[in-house]
Amino acid sequence: MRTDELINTLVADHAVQPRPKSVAHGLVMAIIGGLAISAALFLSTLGVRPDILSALSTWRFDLKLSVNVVLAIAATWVALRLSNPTTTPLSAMRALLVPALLLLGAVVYELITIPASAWPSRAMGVNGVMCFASIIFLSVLPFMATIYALRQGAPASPAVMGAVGGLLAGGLGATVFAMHCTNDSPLFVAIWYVLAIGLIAMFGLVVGRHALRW
Amino acid sequence: MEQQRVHDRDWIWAGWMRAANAGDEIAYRRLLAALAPLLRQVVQRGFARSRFGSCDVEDVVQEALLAIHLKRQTWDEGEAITPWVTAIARHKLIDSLRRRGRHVELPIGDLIDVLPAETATEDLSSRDAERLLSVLSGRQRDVVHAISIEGISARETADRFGISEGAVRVALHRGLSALAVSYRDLNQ
Repeated sequence: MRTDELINTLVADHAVQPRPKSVAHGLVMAIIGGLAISAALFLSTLGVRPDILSALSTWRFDLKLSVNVVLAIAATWVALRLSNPTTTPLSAMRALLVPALLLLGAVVYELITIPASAWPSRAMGVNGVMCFASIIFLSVLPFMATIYALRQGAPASPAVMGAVGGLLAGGLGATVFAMHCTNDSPLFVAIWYVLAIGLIAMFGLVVGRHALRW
Repeated sequence: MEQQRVHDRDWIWAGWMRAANAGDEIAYRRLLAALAPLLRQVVQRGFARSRFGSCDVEDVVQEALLAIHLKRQTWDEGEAITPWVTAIARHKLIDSLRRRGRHVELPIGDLIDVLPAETATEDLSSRDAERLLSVLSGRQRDVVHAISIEGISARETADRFGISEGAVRVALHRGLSALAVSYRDLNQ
């Protein structure tokens, strides 16, 4: 095929859809869709904790929720920046420091304000493994939707993009799960939530290498 | 001076791309035709620096054009277009060098004698790329062939194959996506 023949084809295809939907459009749809299905699954299995209203007035619960929401927002922002091939991965990923520092600050505060003898029980909480598994379970559909949407992008590093997609999906799954979970200590969040979300991000790294190649 | 020229050129190209986004086909054709020499330059330089010579420059140029087309939604209308185009070309170049890296059997010294020097028909891709069309399924191949090689319109293509114009468009778009995948797997 000659290059000018290829150009004929591209122009003909362009005429059909001059402006394909932006990555942002697809990603927002994926987040809404993934979150909706995940929330439906959540309500039909685990359900919201009974004392949600009183929990909402404690800083620990609010912080747990905020860390996950902020992570999802930061990861969305980073993923959109990474979808442009001119973005260097490291510079874009700085936004992820926001949720990380938020959690770190809370952990330090918790360590200072509660006696050392209470640290292990706070960190281990009640059934951390179930929490870990639930976050992963609730993140699966958001993960698939997110990766699918990110295929529209042109990331300099598909693997990094996949990992950020994993963080986004993990943040969404964890936000939903946080409504059920009664372990509110930042120490618990820093271990079990971070482990679960980290694993999804690692999975995203591997999947992204192949699924987000372009 | 040179910087000013590049800046002006970018300004014109960005204008064409914005017009293309608004539905101007002629501007889009102009843009792609103007980008091809730049892509060729980027790819040629990349190949020259590597040990692979310039055997398949045009394949990579075409792959980059296809990527620019399929990823045009990632260009932000507010930014310069040259860096975006160059980033895509570099991505495709690195990808193709990596792919070819696994299959180089001859040292470059031997290769130079075999390779033709700069040929006149520089925009003709290698026979490998020619074979790409054969990976497309029947309808997609017919449509892509009619529009690319014969250069006829979607309307005429629809009439010839007795299908709707919508079906032509779908076949064309799917064909291009499939083509992008097979470029990637070329020489693998």
